Amino acid sequence: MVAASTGLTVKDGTAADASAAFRTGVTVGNAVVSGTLAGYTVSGDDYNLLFTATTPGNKPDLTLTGSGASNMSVGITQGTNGAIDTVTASNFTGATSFNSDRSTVAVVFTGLAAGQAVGVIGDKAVVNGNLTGTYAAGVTAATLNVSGGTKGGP
Amino acid sequence: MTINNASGSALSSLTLTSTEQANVLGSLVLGASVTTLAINASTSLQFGGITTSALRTVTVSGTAATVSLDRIGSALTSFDASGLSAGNVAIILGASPTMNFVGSAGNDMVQIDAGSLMTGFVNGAGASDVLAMYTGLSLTAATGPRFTNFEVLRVASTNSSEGQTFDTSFLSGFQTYQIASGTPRFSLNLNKLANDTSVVFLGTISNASLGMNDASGSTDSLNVTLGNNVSNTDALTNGITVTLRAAGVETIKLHSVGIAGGMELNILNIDAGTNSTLSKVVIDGTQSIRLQSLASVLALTVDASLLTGALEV
Repeated sequence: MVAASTGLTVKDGTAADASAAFRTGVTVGNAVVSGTLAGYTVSGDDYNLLFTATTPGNKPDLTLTGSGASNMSVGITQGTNGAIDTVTASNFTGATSFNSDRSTVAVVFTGLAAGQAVGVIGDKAVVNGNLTGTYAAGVTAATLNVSGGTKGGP
Repeated sequence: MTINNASGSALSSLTLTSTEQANVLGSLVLGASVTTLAINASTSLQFGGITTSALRTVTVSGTAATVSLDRIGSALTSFDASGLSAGNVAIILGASPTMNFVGSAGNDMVQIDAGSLMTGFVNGAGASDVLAMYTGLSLTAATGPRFTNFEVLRVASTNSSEGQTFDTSFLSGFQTYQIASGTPRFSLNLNKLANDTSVVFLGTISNASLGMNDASGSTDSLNVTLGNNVSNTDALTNGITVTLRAAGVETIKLHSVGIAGGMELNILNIDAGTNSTLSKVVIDGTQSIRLQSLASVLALTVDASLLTGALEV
C-alpha cells in the first residue's frame, strides 16, 4: 500500500464518485481524497480511469480503498521517457479490469486477484508495448482482453 | 506479453478475448502452470507465437474472420476451433506426439512442423482447408488417414539431402495439390495422382515429378496451374519457372496466372525425356508463358486460344 502522504488515495464512494475524485483530486460525494497525485494525469469517465504517466518509471502512488467502487476499469499509458510503468492492481479495490491503454512502453500489473482481467488496448496506430500481468498466488484463472486494434509489440 | 502467477504454480487457465478491431499481438508467454487457453474472438486476432511449456488444451470460438496462432508449444494435446463459426484458423502445429486437432467452419491453414506427424487426428472440418507439409514428413498408411476434411495439400521440398516423396494414395478427400517453392535442391515427387488431378505450382521449382496412379492408356491428363501468388512463405511471385516431369500423361491443361499486373513470364520446362507420351497442352490464363525443352516431344499440339497473355515456344 502506498502511504497517503506520498500519493493519492481515494476511499469509498461509488465508482463514479471515485473516478471523479481521482480526476479532480478532491473529495466527491463519499469518495474521500487524501494525498496528492504525482507523476500522472488522470482522465476518463464514471467507470474508466486512465492514468497517463508524466514521469514514467515511478510506481504509481494511487490507491482506491473501501467497498463503494465496482466494475471500474483502470488504464495506464506511457509518458515520454520509455520506462516501465508498474501498477499494483491490489491497490484498487473494486476495479475489475486493468489495461495497458495505447501504451508504447511496457506496463506491468501485479497482484491481480481472481476475477480481475488484464488487457491491451490499441488504436490501430500505436505499437503496443509489452504487457505483463501477474496474478496473486492462488489465483487459478486469468483473463486477457485485447481490443481496439493492437499492433505487434513484444 | 506475459501472463503468469506470483506463485508460479496455481494459474491453470487463460481466457483471451479479442474485440472492437482486428488485433495483432507479439508473442504470448504463458506461466509454467497454464494448461488451458480459451480464445473467444469477435474480431480477427494474430499472434506472433505462444511460448508455453505446459499448454495442453486450446479452444477457439467466436465470430472473428481469422485467428492466426503461428507456432504452439509441443505439449499441446487438443486444439478445437469448432466454435469459430465464420472464420479461419491458421496454425503451425509443433512436434506434439498425441495431438488432436479440429478446425473451424472456415478455410483453415494447418502447417505441420518437422517430425510432428502425430498419433492423434487432424480434422480440417468445414470449408476449404489447407494442410501444409514443408518438411521431410512422409505420408504412410498409418499417418495419411489421420488427416481428414482437408481439401488442399500444400507441399514443398525442403530436405537438404534427398528427394521428397508424397504418396497421395494415403489421403482421401483432397481436391487440389499445391507445390510451393521451398528450397528445391532435390526432387519433389507427388505420386499416385488420380486422372485429371489439379496441381498448382506456387513458386519456382526445378525438379517436380507428378506420378499418376495409373498411367496406362492414352487419356491421362493433369490440370497444372503456374503461379498462384503464394510461395511457402506467402510471398507474392511474379512469374515462376517450373520443370515438370509427368510420365505417362498425354494431356496437360495448363493455367498460367500471376499477380495482377505482373510482367514476367511463367516458364514451364517440359522434361522431354520423361514426358514422352505428352501429346497435347491446352493453355489458358492471364500470365504470359514460355514452354521450353520440347525438342524430343513428338506430335505435340499446343492450344493457347484461351490464353490472354503471350505464348513463347
